[in-house]
Amino acid sequence: MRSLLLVLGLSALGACVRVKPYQRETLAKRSMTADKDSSESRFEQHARGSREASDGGTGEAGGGCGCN
Amino acid sequence: MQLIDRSALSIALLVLASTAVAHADGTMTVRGAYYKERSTRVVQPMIDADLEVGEAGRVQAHALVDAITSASAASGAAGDSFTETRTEGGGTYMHAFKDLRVGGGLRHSSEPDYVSTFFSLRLESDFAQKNTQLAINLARGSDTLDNSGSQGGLSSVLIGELATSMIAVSASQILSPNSVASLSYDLSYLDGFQENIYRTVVAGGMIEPERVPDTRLRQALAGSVRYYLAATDTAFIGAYRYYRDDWHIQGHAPEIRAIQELAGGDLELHLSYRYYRQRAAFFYKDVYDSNDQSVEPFLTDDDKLGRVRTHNTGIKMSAALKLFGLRGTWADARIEGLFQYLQQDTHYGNAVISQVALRFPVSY
Repeated sequence: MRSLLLVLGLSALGACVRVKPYQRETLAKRSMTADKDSSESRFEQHARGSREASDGGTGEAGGGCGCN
Repeated sequence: MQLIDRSALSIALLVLASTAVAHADGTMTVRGAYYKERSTRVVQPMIDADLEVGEAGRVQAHALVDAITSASAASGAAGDSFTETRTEGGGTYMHAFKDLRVGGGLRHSSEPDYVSTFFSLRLESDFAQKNTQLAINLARGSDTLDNSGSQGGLSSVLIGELATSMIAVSASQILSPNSVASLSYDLSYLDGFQENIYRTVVAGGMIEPERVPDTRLRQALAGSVRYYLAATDTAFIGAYRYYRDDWHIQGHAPEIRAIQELAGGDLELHLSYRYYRQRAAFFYKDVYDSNDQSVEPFLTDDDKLGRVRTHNTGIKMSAALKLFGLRGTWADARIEGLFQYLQQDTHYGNAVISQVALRFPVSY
């Protein structure tokens, strides 16, 4: 529950910060959006999932294979 | 081979389905990944598609083959080195309605002794002139394991099922014209057979099969901040994930990454470091004094469920093909190479990880 409140709390920050669309040139750079593509992240998550007991934090389901 | 064909067919159908709808753009990525530690080697070729569908749709699909060669009995055979192949295919579709995006996906993984299918639903929305994004993801997984076809010649046949339910919420917030933060919380519940069917444990002087609880409640809280230093064209990323579950495992994973843009962004140098440590499951032991289930209801000596410390250091180079003189569509294609060294304090030993990838735009 505390974690959920944290996530919602962060979103509440949106009320305080307003960056206009024309100010987002830097935020649109590759390095600020997707420095890893989905295939790199998937392999990383898969390798870690077979050597670490923890999982998650990606917003997507992990596991799903016998090596876990 | 039939499974590989099925995965390839799935991604082909997804791509064809999207291309039949409208003229649009997208990207394809072909990647090869390699993982090597003392007794395990993984080679994984994969292909990904990320395609626009009409004015408001987006489809992402992937197919991969996982070839695992291992001398570890815990990974699938009772001694000698063996190779096992896993195939996976999946896809998601998201449709935009103004600031709201709704979609779902399917992922299927198959190996000789394990089959897994995941369904997911996702809802995401923008707020405050797209300064804030909130998302919720629901997933349901169904796994079936069966060692009757194993290469190890085990005497007992084990068949089991595992159901996984997950909910994840995430928020992304622009903090300034050069910084953005994100936070996510995942909650998942696993119910069913969670043992490694090949693992045995010394208990009371006897060799016993692994026993772990049938249920597991897992939670993960992760956050990250990205900051771009315009003076040097460098992006800095700090991330941290905290994990805990009702097997009393806790994991901490801080990570830092830096991305240096060169040649106007056509060339990138990525440096990364991740530290990971976890506390062992409450029932983990190297050796158990008793095999009596009333004394020791659970038995495992799996390194992964014990105390773990790792350091992962990596370097990646990414270059646009225009740097090599290519023109037209291929000028914006990128090639990348990645190398990571993983120090592990477990019996697995240290590992090297490398990947090469080619990502190219497509129009259809």
